[in-house]
Amino acid sequence: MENYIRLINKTEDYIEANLDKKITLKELAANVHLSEYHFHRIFKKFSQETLNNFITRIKLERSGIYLKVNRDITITEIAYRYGYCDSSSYCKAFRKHFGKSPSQFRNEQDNTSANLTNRL
Amino acid sequence: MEKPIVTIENADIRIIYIRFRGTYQEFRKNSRKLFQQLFDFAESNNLIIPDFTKVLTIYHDNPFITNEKQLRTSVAMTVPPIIPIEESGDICITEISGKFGVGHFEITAGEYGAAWNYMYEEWLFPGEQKPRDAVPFELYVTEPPKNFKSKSFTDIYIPIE
Repeated sequence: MENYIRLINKTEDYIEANLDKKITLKELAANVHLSEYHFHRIFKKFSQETLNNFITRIKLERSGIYLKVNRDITITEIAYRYGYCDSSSYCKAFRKHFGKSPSQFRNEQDNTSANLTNRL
Repeated sequence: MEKPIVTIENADIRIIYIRFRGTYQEFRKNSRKLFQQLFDFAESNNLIIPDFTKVLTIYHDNPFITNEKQLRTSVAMTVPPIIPIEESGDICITEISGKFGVGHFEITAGEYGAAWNYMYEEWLFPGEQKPRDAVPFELYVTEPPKNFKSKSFTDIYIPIE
């Protein structure tokens, strides 16, 4: 794939379509018809994040939106939905990214869920 | 803004898109150019079908969760389901599918925020539908307003379970 923007787009699309799975380099490379080596080389050259950080960030940010708008779903269920094998590893990753636990994040009295709507 | 009619629809839409990364202010500055790029591609590939083709804007992230420099917004255009299309430059093909609550609005350029707010705060959250983790988007049924006074028809699609 010559165009790295398309590679990043398609990688994002793949991750977002497989949020509940543990995503591997092999799958992402196959998704854009490249070898693992070639995919990783291009990704590394053009992305400011490592591939792992990129996957983790997309998943955690999507889970952050989801837990705000689905207040009756448990953190354990959310962890499974976003490809974590248990709530403890999800909470650890979440805290590392957002600086707070998923529960704290959910219960903050801000208007983040309302501002899902604040598009432009 | 008039209260919209909201319908439940199962979408299965094939689109071409260009994805922008950056703040919404930067997106606003660039959106006309991006839509033009999309139209040029569609025209040169004979993808525009009168009364069928629609353009849309897809919002991938939440500005209160994602760093503003990493916000992703895509301009997109519906394309026929079976025509072979070769991706080129920044233009990709994908599909949007699943169940959506669709608000049918007639709004001015200044009322988009209120329309989105209505869909979440007044329709989705208090209602019986559950949000689904997929990207929401606005689809321009008629051409988006060219000034702040005129209105246009826009459908807002909220993914639901």
